Amino acid sequence: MSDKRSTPRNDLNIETMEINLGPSHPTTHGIIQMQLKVAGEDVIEADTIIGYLHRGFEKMCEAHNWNQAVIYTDRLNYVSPVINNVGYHLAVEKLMDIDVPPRGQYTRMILSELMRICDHQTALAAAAMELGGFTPFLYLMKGRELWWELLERVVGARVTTSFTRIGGMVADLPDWFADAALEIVEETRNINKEVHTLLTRNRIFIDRTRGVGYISAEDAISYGFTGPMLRSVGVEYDVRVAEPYLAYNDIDFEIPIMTNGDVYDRFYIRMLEIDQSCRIIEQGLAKLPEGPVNNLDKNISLPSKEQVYGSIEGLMAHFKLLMKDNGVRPEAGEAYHAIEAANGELGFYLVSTGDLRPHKCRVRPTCMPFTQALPQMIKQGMIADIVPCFGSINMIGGELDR
Amino acid sequence: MENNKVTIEINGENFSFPPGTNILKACNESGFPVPHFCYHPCLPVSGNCRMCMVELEMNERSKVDVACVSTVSEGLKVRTDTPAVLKARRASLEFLLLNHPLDCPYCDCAGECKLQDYYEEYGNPEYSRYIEEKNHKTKRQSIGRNLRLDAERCVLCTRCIRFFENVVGKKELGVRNRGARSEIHALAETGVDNDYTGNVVDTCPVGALTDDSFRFQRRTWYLQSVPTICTGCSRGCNIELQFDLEHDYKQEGKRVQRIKPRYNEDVNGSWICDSGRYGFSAIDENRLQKALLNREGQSEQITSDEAVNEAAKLISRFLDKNDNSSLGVLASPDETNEGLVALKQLFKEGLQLPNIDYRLAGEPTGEDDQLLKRADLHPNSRGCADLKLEPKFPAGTLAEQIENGTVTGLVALRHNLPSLLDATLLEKLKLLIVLETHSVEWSRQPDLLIPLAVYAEQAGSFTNCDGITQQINAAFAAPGDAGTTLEIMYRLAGKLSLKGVPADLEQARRLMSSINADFATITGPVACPSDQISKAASIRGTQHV
Repeated sequence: MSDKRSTPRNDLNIETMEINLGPSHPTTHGIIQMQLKVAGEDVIEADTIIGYLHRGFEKMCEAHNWNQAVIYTDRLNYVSPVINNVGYHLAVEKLMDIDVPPRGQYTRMILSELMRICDHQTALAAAAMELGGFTPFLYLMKGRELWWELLERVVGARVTTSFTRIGGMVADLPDWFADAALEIVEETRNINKEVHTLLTRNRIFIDRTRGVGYISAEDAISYGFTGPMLRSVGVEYDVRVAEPYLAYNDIDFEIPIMTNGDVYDRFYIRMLEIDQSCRIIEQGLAKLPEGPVNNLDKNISLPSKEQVYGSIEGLMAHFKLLMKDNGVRPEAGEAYHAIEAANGELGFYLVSTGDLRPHKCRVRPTCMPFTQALPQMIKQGMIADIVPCFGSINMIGGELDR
Repeated sequence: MENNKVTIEINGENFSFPPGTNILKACNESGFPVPHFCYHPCLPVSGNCRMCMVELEMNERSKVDVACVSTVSEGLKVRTDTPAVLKARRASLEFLLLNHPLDCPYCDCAGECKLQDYYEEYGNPEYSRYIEEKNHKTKRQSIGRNLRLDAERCVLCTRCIRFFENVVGKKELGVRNRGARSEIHALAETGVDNDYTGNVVDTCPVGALTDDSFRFQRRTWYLQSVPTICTGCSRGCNIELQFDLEHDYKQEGKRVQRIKPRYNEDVNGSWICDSGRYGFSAIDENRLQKALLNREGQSEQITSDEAVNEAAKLISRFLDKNDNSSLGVLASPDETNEGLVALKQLFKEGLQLPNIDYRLAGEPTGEDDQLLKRADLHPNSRGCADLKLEPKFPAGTLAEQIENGTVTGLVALRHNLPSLLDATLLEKLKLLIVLETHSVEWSRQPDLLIPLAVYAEQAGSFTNCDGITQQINAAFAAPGDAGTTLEIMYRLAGKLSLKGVPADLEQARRLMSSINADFATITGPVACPSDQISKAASIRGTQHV
């Protein structure tokens, strides 16, 4: 596909002007500032200013014990919080070299895929609405709401899930979960079909996105792109396949690839991935093994609430894990573990000095490389193209600025 | 048997012990701690908790048995970590927890409870196997003084019974009923009544006996701990001062939460008396925080710099007009050796004042109970004597000296003067400079009142009645402008242009040793040979016997 970018029309003698887009602008979902140099409608120079949502997540982890830090991961990519929970605790478990029973791994995988669907639906919905398509927005938001209500029934929260613990989960999935989830999977497929009819062949949508925000495969790799953004330029890389974790090895699913590297492909690939995630959920629920969801080492995993409130052994184990100066102390060392989050490779690098708290917790954010490449993608384009391009990178401030 | 010692093998390594050494003690001292509830290094052995299981091998025959009731014998092989041993310990613990209530959330002992520590280390990983209703017994029952007994939490180790019977020498507690219904009870209807009751709370390995004065005050894991010396009497019992500065919003300015005894075989074993244990409230109450200058009948707050200036001015003006012997200096047996030597250096060697004493007639005394309590209620009388703070006039006759007019000025330190000297005598003094820790009512306002730190706020040393000089440590900073005597004497010497007053602890200790060679060794905390310190407790520095 050709690059639609043009050179500025110097023949019109238009004076250049510097303007700010954001930090507080409806299309900058989250808070980010774009400093633009424009000549008429053409963007000549662009720069992104980040950091407006910096909370010091990584520093705060150093003040909390290994289990407590999970609450901060909810607030990274807050559209798919469980994926962050899983990523963080997989890194801790790698550091401590402990296993999670198969049922726990399947549970984590199913919830991660559920969150991936929500994340993609949100990205698509926002983008469609910004391009004037209010109907797909409503359809997709309705679809996302089904998942979030399911999540709320399981976890008790929609965004602040904090559902993983060292060695497993807060709780097992309830009995009714499989039936409820399968129903929503069907509904999600229907919604996806409807969205296809509304967007995929829609002349306006295609005109606004085809060839817009182009990036080459070479540039994408050198910027460090991962996830749908990288796969939309024809590079076949998915952490779930390249370095399988949880139970992804047992599941049959495809990695959608597009080759054009423009905004249209980025949205289209997300629609395809929603279908794949539905397949993973179906297979995961069918194969969900019996057994405990948590590692049973009482000095590592928190006991279930039934044990804590029902037996002195469980109560004491709970106290010994949570009292000040007590609890899990991974041996001194470091670990990096990456997972495929909705936006790409989400990595946690942890350093332990054998203490109750992380010595260092560093996150490899998924959308940081995209945001870095944003000026290149919007330069030489038109102001109106910034909005779909920015929507397509699905920047999440919580994760970008940490 | 070389040197009259028995050699045994513990976990494959050889160790020698005197004959008759308890195997549990031998294992603990060799670095292979054995879990225990009923065993206590300072109490007779009982052997009822069955937690200290080890494998004993003799003449090719081995069995799993309790370590605390047997003694070492030549050729014995002990293993503390075999699967059979761990299984036996797990089983013992399971029995102990069978009827244990789910009280950790509101049990004062949580955090320093042996059940919790041993469960983490040896307990059943599958939590409980039982679903039956637990046994119920009397809860939170007062059994005398500050003691509160929760019979459900009790593991019936009988440490408390043995403590009263063997250490205090009074049968206070017993076990009534049989089997699963057994519980501790007070023998006398009026409950336990002696001066050492608090110790059973420390020796209780679980939360069965708790202390009313500490009940629900702080979670133990918030406490910080500093090893120091009790100032209640001249015994100098080793204590842990436990305090919490982080949760100030809960109690107005109350820093010290409790006092726990610290093991020192030469001084106090593992015990302290109740007067020492509960006497800490004075540390945080009614403290003098600012120097007060009496300017024509009006007392005025001044800074510590101004206070030292004023003191120097008042003293030199007084000595210009009066004879050296008319200025009396009253040191104090509550002062550290380091403060005393600085005071002596300033007033005796520097200003050449002959009348320095540390005693005052009519001071209250206690009762010597032949156990720990001494009649002399000051921690450092021996230190004063060893530093030769002797007056020219007969000791303790300062009141008479003031009465007959030979002493007309007085510098007094850490004495509650208004309660010891008549108002008429205080009126007669032309100059009165007082260094004091607390605010008291004065009939005659001192010309200058300088605030001092208490023992919990300064480092130094006290010499106990047996001549053992022991280190004290600062737990927290003194309030307001309060400082140490050493520091104030040094600054005062600077103002009076006198040399030779020590500037810090090190210089002071060198001076002390030159006065009396007994001060050459200052003992710090002593490790308890049989204590097993849990991970968490070792971080806080508290002992876990």
